[in-house]
Amino acid sequence: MPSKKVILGLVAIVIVIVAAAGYYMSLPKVTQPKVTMADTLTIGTTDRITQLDPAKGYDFYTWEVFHNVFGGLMEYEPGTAKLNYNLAESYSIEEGGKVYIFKLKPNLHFADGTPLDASSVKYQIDRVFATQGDPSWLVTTFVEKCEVVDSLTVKFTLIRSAAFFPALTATPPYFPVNPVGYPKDQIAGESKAGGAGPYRIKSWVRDQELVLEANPFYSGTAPVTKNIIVRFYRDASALRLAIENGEIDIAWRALNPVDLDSLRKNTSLNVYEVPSSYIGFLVFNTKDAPLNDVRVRKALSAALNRDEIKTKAFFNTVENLYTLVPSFLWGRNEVFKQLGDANLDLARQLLKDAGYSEQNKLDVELWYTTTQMGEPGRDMALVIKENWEATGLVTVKLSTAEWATYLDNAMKGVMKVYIQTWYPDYLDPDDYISPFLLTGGNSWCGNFYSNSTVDDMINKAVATIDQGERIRIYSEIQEISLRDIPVVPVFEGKTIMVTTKNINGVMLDATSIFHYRTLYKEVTTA
Amino acid sequence: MSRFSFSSALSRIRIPTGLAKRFVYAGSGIVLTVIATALLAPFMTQYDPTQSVAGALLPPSLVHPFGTNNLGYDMYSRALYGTRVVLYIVFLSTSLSMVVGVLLGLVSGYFGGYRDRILTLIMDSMYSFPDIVLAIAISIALGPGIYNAAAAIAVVYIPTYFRMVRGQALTIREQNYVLAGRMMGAKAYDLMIRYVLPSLVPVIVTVFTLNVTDAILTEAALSYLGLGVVPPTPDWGSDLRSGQIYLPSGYWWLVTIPGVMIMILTIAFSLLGEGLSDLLNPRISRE
Amino acid sequence: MASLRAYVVTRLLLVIPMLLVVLTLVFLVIRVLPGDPVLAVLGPKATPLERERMREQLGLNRPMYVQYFSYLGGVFTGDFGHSMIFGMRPVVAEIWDRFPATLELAIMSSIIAAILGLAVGSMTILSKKPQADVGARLYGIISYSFFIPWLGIMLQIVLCVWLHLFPISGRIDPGMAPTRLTGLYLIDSLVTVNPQAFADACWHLFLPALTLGVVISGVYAKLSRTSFSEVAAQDHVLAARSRGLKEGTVFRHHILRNALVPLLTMMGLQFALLLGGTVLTETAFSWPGMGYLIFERILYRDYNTIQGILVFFALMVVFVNIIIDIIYAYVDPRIRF
Repeated sequence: MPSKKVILGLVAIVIVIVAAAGYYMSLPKVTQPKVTMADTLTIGTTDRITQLDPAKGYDFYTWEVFHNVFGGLMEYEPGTAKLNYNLAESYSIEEGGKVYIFKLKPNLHFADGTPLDASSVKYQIDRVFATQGDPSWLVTTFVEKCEVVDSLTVKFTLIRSAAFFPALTATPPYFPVNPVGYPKDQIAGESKAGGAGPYRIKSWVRDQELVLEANPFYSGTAPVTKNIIVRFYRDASALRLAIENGEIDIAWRALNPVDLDSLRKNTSLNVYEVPSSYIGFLVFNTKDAPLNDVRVRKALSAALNRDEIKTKAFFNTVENLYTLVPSFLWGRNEVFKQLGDANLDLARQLLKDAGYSEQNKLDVELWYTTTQMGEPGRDMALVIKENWEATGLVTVKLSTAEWATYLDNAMKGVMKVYIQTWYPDYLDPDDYISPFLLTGGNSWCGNFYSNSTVDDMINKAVATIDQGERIRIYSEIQEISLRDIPVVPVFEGKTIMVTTKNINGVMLDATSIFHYRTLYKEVTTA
Repeated sequence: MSRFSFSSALSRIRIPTGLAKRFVYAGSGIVLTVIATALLAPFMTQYDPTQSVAGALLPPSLVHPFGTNNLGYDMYSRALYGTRVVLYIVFLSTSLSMVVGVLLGLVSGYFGGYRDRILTLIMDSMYSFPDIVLAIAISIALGPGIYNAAAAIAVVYIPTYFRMVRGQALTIREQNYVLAGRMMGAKAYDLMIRYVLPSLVPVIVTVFTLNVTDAILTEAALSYLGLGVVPPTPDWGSDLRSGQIYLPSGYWWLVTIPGVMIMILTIAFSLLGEGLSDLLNPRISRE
Repeated sequence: MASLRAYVVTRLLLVIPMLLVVLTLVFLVIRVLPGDPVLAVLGPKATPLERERMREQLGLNRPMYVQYFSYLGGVFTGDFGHSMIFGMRPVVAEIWDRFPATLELAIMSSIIAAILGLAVGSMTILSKKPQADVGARLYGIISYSFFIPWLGIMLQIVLCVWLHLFPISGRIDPGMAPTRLTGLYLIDSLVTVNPQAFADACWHLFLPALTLGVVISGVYAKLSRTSFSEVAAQDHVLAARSRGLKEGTVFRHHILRNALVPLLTMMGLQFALLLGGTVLTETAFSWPGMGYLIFERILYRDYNTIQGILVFFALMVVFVNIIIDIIYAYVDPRIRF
């Protein structure tokens, strides 16, 4: 046995070492402040989720949730309007655009691990046909049948060839749903089973809160922020105050234009603005007096002062629009620039040619609705009234109706001229042209415009796959739209988002699809 | 709201006659001033309240005492011209209510029978709806516009007059002089006009004034909810609504003024009504 | 107590024809509305065939009288239809979601109104000066003259925007709502021992309740004054005073105690007034109750929901009035017939 002295010596050394180590560790460290990514991010909005079934949902915010929780064959690349493969890895076109064959990526799963294959794609298409929900026309007017070729291959036979069919598969009615939560012939509005998107739903309290967590089975790159909380605010003023007070990280849809304007000046916030796909315009009833005279229509178009509308009604949250096709899309021809803004001389001249004078003024009834557009819609109507009366030859009476009556009146031609807005369902010039200029396709808007030359051109442009040819045709169609003026483009909207300074990864684009998976929040810890 | 007016008219507690008179003077003074403003508005301001006359959202200044709104309208002009719309709609609607309500009440109370029962049932059912809710429902059915708003408000107050007149008609019908008149073969119409109506005049007048008060608030409410007048007609309720979203950005003058105008007019008619009620109805027994 | 029971039964039975009339009136008014809800739901791009299909689905292409009877039948089985515009949710579910919010606002407002009204009324009686009476009268006039949205907005300007003391709108911060037991946040948060939710709910409830409470307090002040004066004129009060009791004691023991129950019931009769006030208060503060709901849905021609809400409003008023009448009959046997 070692002697007592040795043991004592060893113990002493151990104590010294331990003490020294303890002292060293207790020294305050000189550290660099660490920047980490928060694992939760909060978004505030005044929109609502109506229900959670892609076969039925047809409003803006519900579709946003679908884009983040479900996945489609194709999807738009965040920050662009470009279509990319998502669940599909390739597709081929046959029979001149009438048949599309999609090949799926292997090993796909739903958010709970259930496998996803070609039969899942067909399952949803069948559901849409069976349940006839609100957006079902996106499927039923294009798809004749959908067949499973093998477990990874799906074949779509269309009713007529459509060059933009891949864009359609990027819309929610086409998104495969988890059969566990979605029965095959019934709408399941409260189901949280989800699909194959980057996130899955952890909880949803109607009109209160939506909590999302990253989907472990997602086939793409995992989302940067693991948890997203969406808070539903009651009104735009409360949302504005919330982002100002730092209660939320991101404020998205819909802030009042005046609030957006004032927040732009707030240096602790970032305001992102990009052109959106939303357009505002005037529709003319070209069949009935007094607007069946193209000179009158031209005069009224020329007298519009888009700058005034932009600043007074919208606080610069929109941009002037001079053709039906908005700025983010290809194939534009800004024909209405030829008429100019507040071109009172031209307007007066045309009106006089049409037989109006100071004693015999043109009586016009301008309609607007606040159901969709809110107060800016009314303000826009007021500015237009002033623009037209500035010619000295027009008297304007304003009328309003709520949405259902408005659409009804439009279809019946009750409203000789009215303000309307438009969100496209798929991002192609066709969805900005057909709904206004195509005989039959434009029956909803009551402009009673029917031009067989234009009809032929539109149909040709839809059937052609050659981009260059399509651009040429659309350019000519827009020239004709200036000549006949059934519709006057006024403004294009902007997608605007307000975030706190430490938010990054915001990728906004004209699709107005807000992809949560690219977002991250930098948190500094000392 | 009409229930409040009614109970107030039947209040047993009086204030000294001198004071009641002062209420009446004060009330009618303000009312007459407002009516004068409605008539003389074009002379009190140079600006058209429905035209853009200056920059947007200017704060109160010497040129624009109440500032301008987001479209550059002068808020002072809008406050002045607003008197026209309110007075017009309110007088139209309460007169209509009174005429219809009194007539129906007379017929119902005097003749009785199944007609009376059905009418009473309908009136009671209408009475179960809060005033605003009924006005909203009817206003939606009729659409926006001055006359439609007046009609909606008129319908709401008919049951008030109906009940009051019917009750009185029931009582008076049994009086000896009325029975005597009937035995002598006098026509029902004559009897009603001669005996029932005169006793009702003081009460009707008071209730009318107080109903005007309620009608002002209901009209403002309809406009506030977007159901009343069509833009750009100057109206305090709709200006209040438009101005509300500008509040968080600090534009306070858009909402303060319209509300003050509403209050002034309402207080005026209230004072008038309360004073009248005390002067004209000294001791009315509770119903 | 046979006659009381008879009274109650009679009262309840009389409700049925009234209910029928209410339902019919509502149905007529709503169906008169122009505009096609199907268009609003499907959007402009739907084909006529799709619209027809939806009309069929919703039963809108049946003749009016068929729809009427189907509606009546539905009501008596508790089915008020589905909200056509908002995801086909049952109307009863939509109303049930919002009803507690309105109830909470109504209760809190009437408490505040009662406190203010009683205070003003008491002051009138306690102070012997005639100015007090005039003051009370003026208070009633002025407080009632506040346009509810305006009063709410003024409070918002000062207390929310300038002083940042209260939230500008809403019922509670998103995500903070307590577990739903009754739907009344104050009660639920207390029962589930959730102090943050309780505090947050109170903080949001204060301004709307104060706004409506002030406006209604004028009515209550008037009722208090009337009631107190009547009781004060009665013999037992005179006797108490002549015994030399202090005024305050006389007030508390003799006047207040005797006046309180009838007074509270009279306040209850103003329930329709209170409900009407909640519509405007809710719109001004974006308070998610039934008043706000009716306004939202009217914009979208959501027939069924609007019908359901209107009927519900009327039913609430009728129900409260019946209860008050029964209490009256219980307290004062002379009224029963």
